[in-house]
Amino acid sequence: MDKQGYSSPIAREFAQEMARRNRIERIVGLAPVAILAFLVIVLSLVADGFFSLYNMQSVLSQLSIPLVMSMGLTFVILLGGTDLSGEGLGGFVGSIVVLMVLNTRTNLDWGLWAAVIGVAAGLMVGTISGFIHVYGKMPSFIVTYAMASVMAGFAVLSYRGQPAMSKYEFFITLARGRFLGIPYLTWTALVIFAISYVLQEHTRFGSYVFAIGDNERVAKNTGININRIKILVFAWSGLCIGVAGVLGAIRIGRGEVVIGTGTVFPAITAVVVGGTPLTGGKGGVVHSLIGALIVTVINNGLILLGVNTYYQAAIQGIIIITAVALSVRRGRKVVTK
Amino acid sequence: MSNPAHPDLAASGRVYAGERSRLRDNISRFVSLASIVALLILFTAMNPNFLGAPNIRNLLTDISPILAMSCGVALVLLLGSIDLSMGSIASCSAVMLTLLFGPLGWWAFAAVFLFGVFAGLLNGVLHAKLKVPSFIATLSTQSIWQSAAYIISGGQPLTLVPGNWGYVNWVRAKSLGPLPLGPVPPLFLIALAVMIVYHIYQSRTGTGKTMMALGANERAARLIGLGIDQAKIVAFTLSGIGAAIAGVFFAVKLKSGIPTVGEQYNLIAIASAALGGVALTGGRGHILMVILGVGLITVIQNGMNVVAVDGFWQQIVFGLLVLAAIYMNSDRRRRDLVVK
Repeated sequence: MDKQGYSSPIAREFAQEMARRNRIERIVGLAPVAILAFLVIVLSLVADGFFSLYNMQSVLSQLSIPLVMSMGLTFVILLGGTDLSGEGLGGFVGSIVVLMVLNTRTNLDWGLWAAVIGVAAGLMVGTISGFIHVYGKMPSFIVTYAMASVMAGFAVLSYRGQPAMSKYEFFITLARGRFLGIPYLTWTALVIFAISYVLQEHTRFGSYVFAIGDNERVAKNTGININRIKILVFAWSGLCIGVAGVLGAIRIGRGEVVIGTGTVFPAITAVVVGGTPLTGGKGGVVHSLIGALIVTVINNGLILLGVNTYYQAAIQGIIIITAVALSVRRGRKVVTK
Repeated sequence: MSNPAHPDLAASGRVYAGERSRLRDNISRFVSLASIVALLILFTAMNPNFLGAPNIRNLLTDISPILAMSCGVALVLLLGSIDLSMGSIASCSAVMLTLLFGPLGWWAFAAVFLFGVFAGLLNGVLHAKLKVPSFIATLSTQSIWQSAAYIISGGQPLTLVPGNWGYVNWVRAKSLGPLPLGPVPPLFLIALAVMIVYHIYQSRTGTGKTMMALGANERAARLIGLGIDQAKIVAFTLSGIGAAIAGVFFAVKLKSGIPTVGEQYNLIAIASAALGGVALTGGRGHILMVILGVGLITVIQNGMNVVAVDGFWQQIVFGLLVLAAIYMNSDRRRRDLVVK
């Protein structure tokens, strides 16, 4: 053994290489926080009214739906899959929830039970997607893409082309109210974040998700029931989409399929920009929280700067491509489909 | 099969497996063809006008843009990749064409074609050179071109001013010079030509064959020295061109540029290619067979309109069709297959 306690030069080289990689990874891991800080500073200087209590509250309010969506999506992406069903499923849940509370279209008045049923519907559809993905051996993105279309159809079908307006007092209170200066909707999202954090860090489920995302075959050989974990992940993602749908219904007060429109893209951006690569196995919900903040701050800043809202989606597209291109593994042997 | 005492049994087992896989290769085509015939009979029974000359003309007009798009996406599916940006490339093309007739005249068609080349090339380079997974690269460009369509059109549907109708009136031509076309619209002939050109390119050229090979096994294709990146970029470019042609069809058919016209066609084009027997896992499929899938989808869509089913059922039906078509084509024999 030499002075540093390595048995051979190769061992020392290996240890140094690993230490170097860890250092790089830690720096890269901090990049999203730096980007967020940079954005906040620049926007405070450039955009009038960005750094004000009122605007910070509206940023927090706008954060709620992307945050909830990205919490479910983080687990799916950690597996190396994708869930694109949010557009249709979120719209469906939002539509049926408004039809079940006191509203202008039906005679139902189930109060908060409507929200519970809505979230359960999300959970159920997520589970179905998971089943089809796992047992049909079909890629998750296409299963959920098709599922989005199916659920968008059912959403319009549920209110037959004429959206219902919510007359439920409690929803109106929830939409406007604040606790400690933070909107109730954001508190709901933070609760989902806390649950996701516990799931990821303190349950066997969380470790299995990382293991499967890192190397599915190895995880399978160690005896993890891969299929069960995958279905659970899609069920969790469906549940989060269900919560996002309910929050959307509360926010706009109208049960319409557009509740889901344009919600998936910010959520994917949040996860990827936060530092969970699409290949899975790395990252997590804390990263996605930072990512969701980045996405929300950018969108908020663009509105304050008076940029045409049509540019938002295009800018998000460019951000996703850049983030993914920076995070993918390259080299001649890597096969990307 | 592993019984050494019965070598014949082993051989027959292998033959059986081979026949079964050939059957599976064709199953979606059989299903598509049988469904088309069954649906034609069903819809004709429900509404006798369904197979009248005017509706056949309608059917063939509806088929045209979907055919141009699905032949493009079929090439991308052969790679094992996907293109989700076709719908908004088509929307953007439709909007651009409507605006460009004024300054460019007939050259507007060439400009939109070039736009298709560029949009496809961009997807191809992002995927092949930057190694961005195709679904996320094209989902992002989908978002970018959709924004572009909204920005160019100001968010409003643009109508073609009557002064420029001269550029699009050929759509209604009933004859090709001295040759009468009967119920066949000119758009369908163009779409058919696109399909045949794509088929010949895919099956006769080196790059085209490389697409199939790398879809079946990319590592092996790379090891024997095939031009992987080139084949990928060309496939995405042809897909972009197909989408731009579809956008031109929408614009000339409707005499307007609607910024959302292509929205639902991503799923429809993918469903058509899958129903035509192109496997989403890559390496398996036949471009000429895509027309069967397109036919089935269009008959369903048109039939639902003729028998007056509400529009939102179409989204449900197409979503389920995609799932069914991909299920029929997916390879579940290998137990160690990793599907993400």
